[in-house]
Amino acid sequence: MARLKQETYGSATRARREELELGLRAFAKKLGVSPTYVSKVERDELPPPAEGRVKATAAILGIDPDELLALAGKVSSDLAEIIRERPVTMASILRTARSVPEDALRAMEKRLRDSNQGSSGDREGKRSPPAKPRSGGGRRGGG
Amino acid sequence: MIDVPFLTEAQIEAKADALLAAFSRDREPILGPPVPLEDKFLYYLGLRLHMDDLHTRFGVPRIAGRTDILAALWIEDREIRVDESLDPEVNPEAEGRYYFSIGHEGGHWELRRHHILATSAEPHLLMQSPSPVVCRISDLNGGGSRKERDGTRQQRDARARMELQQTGLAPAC
Repeated sequence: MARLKQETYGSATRARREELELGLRAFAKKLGVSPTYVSKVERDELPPPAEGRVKATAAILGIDPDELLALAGKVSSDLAEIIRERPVTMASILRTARSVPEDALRAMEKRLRDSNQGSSGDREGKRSPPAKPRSGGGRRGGG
Repeated sequence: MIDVPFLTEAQIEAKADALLAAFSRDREPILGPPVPLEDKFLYYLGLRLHMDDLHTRFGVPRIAGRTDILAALWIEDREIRVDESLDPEVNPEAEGRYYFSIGHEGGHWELRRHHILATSAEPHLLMQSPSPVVCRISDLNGGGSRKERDGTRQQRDARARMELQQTGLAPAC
């Protein structure tokens, strides 16, 4: 994944597109928008697009989608859902993590991931149990 | 306004041929159409392309909604901007003029940038901010500066060369 150095969404996506030598029109076509629209977003004359298009941009340009979403002033909708599922715990974790150094956070994330992968085998491949039962066609737990 | 020295058609053709040969040598051979004008060739020249509302940018009204300013070149920023009315995805009928404008500005870059930069660096012009080369239909259709007169001629040559060599980028003014 390419790391972003620019301060704005427009300048970051523009710099990365040019780094890849991807033409304006070709990029716009992949994204399903007009070259004029891309130009204006890249010059920060228009606000960043909606989440789906930001993620598509990240995929085309090889950028971490969360990093690009943050630059667009957005948070991925799945993160918002995760917080809503366990608001007290997740909010507390995030507030605590805010002051933890990056290295320590990375180590903690790795331990969590390892631990989750270790236990996921016991749950027949499910990465994490749903926090609350989903209605309508959801897989029922237990058994 | 900076005027530019006269270039003969032979000089222009030689420059265009040299550029195409250099691209073929350094990047990929040009065997036939289409020449990757709007991305690979511009990147090869170190230029970037953007779309913009150039009439608003330069404060020139569109008479009866018509486009007069086709494109502009910011030499120091290495940037070509084509008027958004020529956006081929929005207005497919403008595709020919879109490519024409990119080739035209590429021609300015290739043939005129050294002279323009050198002239704008003269002491009496140092306090002025560098202004872009602006290409208007009203200049291309007779009158206008030598850059634009040459541009019309060079673009005509470019079209002829496109038919002969199936290339898309021939230097303009």
